[in-house]
Amino acid sequence: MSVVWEGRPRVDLSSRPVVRVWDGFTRLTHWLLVVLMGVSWWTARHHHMDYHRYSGYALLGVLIFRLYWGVFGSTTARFAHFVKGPRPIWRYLRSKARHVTPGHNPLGALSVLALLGLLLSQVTLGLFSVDVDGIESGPLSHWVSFETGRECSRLHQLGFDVLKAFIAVHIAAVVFYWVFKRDNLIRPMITGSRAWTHAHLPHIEFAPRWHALVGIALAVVLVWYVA
Amino acid sequence: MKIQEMKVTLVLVAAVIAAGGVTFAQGQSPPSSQGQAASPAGVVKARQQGLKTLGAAFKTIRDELRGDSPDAAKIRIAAADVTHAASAIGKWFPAGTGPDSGVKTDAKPEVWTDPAGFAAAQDNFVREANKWAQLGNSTDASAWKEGAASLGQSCKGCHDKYRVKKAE
Repeated sequence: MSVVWEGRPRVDLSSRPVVRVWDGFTRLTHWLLVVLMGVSWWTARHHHMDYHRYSGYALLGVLIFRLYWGVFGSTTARFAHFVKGPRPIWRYLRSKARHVTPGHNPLGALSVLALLGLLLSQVTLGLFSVDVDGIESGPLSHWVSFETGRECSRLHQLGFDVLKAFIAVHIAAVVFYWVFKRDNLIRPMITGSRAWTHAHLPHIEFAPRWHALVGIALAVVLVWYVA
Repeated sequence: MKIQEMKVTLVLVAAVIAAGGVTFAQGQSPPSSQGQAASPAGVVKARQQGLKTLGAAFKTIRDELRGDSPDAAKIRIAAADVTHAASAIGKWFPAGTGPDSGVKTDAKPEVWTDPAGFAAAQDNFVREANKWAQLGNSTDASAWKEGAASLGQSCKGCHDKYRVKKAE
């Protein structure tokens, strides 16, 4: 079964205690989403619709994997672990003490849900979109009428504006933590480890690699079926 | 909040909603009735409707040709729409119906400043459409696919040069 890491402490060069919070797959997923969003934007803007479709398929695969990982992945990637109700969010906001959460904090969880939800709806709308000439279209557009396909395309464009707004909020929050709370969240998302000054080490279980392989296989099969 | 401040806010909100409503209503009402079909707005509207029908017909053709067993009846209906558009397209771009007319249109001024080039691109489409009309009566799927590809290219022939590019 899963390998249990009792928040394995490490000693880095500055000899500050460091704790591993993100597994490699969660980090890879995060940065793949960043890169693929960029590719999707650029290819749409420059009318390279073939590559826009490929980028969309890749995004769909990464999103399917992330949803899977949110159930079968490591502790900090699991929705059940980090998605909290309004009360814990309120408590988190009010806590004056330096509150450090291993992984997503209760407020950041909302950002994760919003961004994943928006990306999923973007990709889904893209699958059904049709251009004004009926020439370029998503792989499932033959299931819908021309008018519905056009509406999907309009919403696909509108959705991108909404997504941009949420990305701006996400980046602003990361900058806020860095500047005002002196908490660099970007480094852990790259290296997987963060500084840890609390006496109690967090209990984080890291999922074994074969869990990820199952998720990747699932994503590949579903994308293959759709495309 | 004080009562007076609230009143001011309410009036402001009401004003914004009213202004939005007026703008929306202006956008919705067709600027010309059917009796004045020759007005630029009427022409642009008819043109856009015609091109939309053409787009829908082309989607039908492409959808049918995706699979292994295209529906000949559906393809024939779509082919009829294409033929109809080809016969009407010559009347869709009269002078005075470009962006200068004030009517919202994606037609570029080049349609009217480069009439020879535009006419050639249009003729190319009409030629491909007529070819397609012939194919519509056959049942040869591979010929359909080839015909659809060159028909699509002839659509793009106008769109690339004479229409405003959009991301949508």
